[in-house]
Amino acid sequence: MGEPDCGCGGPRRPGHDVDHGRRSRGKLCRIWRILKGDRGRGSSPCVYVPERISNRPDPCIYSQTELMQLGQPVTWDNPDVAIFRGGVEQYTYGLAPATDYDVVVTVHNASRSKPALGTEIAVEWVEFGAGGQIRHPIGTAFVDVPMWPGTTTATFSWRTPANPGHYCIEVDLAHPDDGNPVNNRGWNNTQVLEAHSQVRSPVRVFNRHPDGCPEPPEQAPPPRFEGPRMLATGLVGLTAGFGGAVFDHEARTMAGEATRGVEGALAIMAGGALLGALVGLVGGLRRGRRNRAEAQMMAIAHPVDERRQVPCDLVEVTVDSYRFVDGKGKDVDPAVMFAPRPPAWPARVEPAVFRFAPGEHHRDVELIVDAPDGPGPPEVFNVSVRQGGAPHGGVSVVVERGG
Amino acid sequence: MAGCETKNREGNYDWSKDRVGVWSIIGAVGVGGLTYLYVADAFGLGALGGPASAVMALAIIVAAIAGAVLAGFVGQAFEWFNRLKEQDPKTITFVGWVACAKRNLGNPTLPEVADGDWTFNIAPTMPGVATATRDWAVEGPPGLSVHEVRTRTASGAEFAGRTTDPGIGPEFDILHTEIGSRIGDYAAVGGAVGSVAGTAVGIAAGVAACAVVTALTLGLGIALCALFIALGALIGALIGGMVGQLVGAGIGAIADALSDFNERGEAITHGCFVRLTGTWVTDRSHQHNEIHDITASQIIECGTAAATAPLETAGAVGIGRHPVGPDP
Repeated sequence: MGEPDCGCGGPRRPGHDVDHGRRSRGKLCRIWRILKGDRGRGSSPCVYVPERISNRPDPCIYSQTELMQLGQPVTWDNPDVAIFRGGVEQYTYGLAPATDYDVVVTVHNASRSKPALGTEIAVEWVEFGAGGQIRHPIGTAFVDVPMWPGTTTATFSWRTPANPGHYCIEVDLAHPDDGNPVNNRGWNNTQVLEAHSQVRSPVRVFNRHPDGCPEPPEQAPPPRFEGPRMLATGLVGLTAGFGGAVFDHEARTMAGEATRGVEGALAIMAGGALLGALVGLVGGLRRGRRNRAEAQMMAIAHPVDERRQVPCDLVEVTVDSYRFVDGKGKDVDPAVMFAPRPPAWPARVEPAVFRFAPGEHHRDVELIVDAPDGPGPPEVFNVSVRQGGAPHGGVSVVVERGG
Repeated sequence: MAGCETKNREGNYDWSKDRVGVWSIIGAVGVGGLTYLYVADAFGLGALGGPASAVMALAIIVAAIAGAVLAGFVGQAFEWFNRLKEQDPKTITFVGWVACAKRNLGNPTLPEVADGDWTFNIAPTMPGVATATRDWAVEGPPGLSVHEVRTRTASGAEFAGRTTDPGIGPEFDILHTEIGSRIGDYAAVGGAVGSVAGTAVGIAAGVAACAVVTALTLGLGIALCALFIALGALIGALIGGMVGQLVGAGIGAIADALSDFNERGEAITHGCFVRLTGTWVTDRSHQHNEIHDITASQIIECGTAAATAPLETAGAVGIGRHPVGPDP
């Protein structure tokens, strides 16, 4: 299942380079084969990537940022982060002030061959909402994470601030030899609400760029460069000029006239070269105009590539009822694990799309859920935010129906 | 399977070659002009007549060509080390299908095509599989799109066009990625150094050959001597440059081997869905963007196991619920 069909005898062979399936007989043999021209032409069924690049540990956590970049639905009730008080799991929104809690973080390692020794875990709290920019440290620890499927948990003691407030937990991992640096940050941001005929809950969205959007890079048009064409036609002109100089010299000699000498000959040849280069330049400019017109036609005729630049002050908010069902290895069907789920009940966010005003620090949007009457099982509503097209945080709101 | 090739939808794929051409033009004009001025000042060209003037003119032309060759090798080295311009952010992580994989081991006298780099063309679809979805994405940093990765021009570069692999299809979109080898760097340096040294040796040989024409009349003898020196410079520049590139490539291959470059590596082949992390650059030589150098690679899955839900599988691997690499 899924093993590369290299035709070279397997995915891992020590000291093996790309070449017609022959095994290396040592470094000197390999060097000799390269120097004498025994090389693979074109592409090969398999290419062995250097071990230092392909065989690295990968400590990771449930990362909403990575999953959103992959276009997958996410939950903000992070399966790898839990808050306990007296052994009872808590939601991040309803934590009491000046109270001791335990934050338990589970770290995975996606590598089957390298343990992630000395992985740093940093845990912080952020003001509840999406994209809070001010972080407050809770604790830091160093752990050794075994190879997949092993995991490691770390517990952090946290006393909440004395001032009442609502919090989001952010976890960051770090490892000096990390094979994937984008799966190291996870958030835990949850809230529980009692269902009424209509549930309304504000969600604060913080502005990532309160001082304004950074200047986008200027994109230059395709430059024109006619060097080789001018060189080629210039050489042709030079050759023609040489022939002309020789002819001129011989003609003058036969006519008994004084020859032009070396300077004259060189002047004729230089003139030929300049004329040839000019012809090449003109031809190249005309061809360049044709190429630019073709490029414009291609850009119109063919599908535009993936998402173009999104204004950095544009905020897009979505809501769904996706549920993450945890599992590992062969128990996991990725297509099922990330199957999207629309809102279980009529739900919307207002406004769903807006642009921050210059200098605006944050804005509250409102999650509105029309819960059904009567008791029943709770439902989760994930509010996910993007700013400038980039994942910007979110919250998972559990709506309970009394019963 | 066809070779791993690249071609631009827009921009000048041969931008560096054009630049080397300009180096050659400058070398030709400079050396030819200096040669002419030296000869005119030393011998009074107006006094030369008959066949001597033609031979002297030919000597000046040959000297100009030698200058073109020498400047070409030097220019090639200069452009080689100035071709990659880093983007901001410098490091990105990208997932997609491996459309093809190869190592650039070909003619070592042309570092551009034989630099020893491991190259992978990453595509949005598995080659040969018709699908409406485009299963490639930029995983990090957040907010970066595939379109921007493929088309934003880095600071200091001129342009970045979208890349295709014509070996697979005339409009098969790809992102080109490479793991750098030392062969190309050492070959470029070797070519420049070898050409300079070869030119010096050739000139010395030409001067020594002048002894055979001392019996001729002063004008023709001088002209032939000049021609010998110019020919020596041309042959020395050309052979010295080629030999220098070969030697440099060999030293680069040795350096790669001594750094255990290939030990216990993972095999990546077309049909694998991979995650690559590396330096995002604009390659000025071909006016397209690529990841060069790849610093970390992960095989998400290969073949049919990945075909049904590649991005979902990448997500499962990314959060540690599925291991890296093909399932046993």
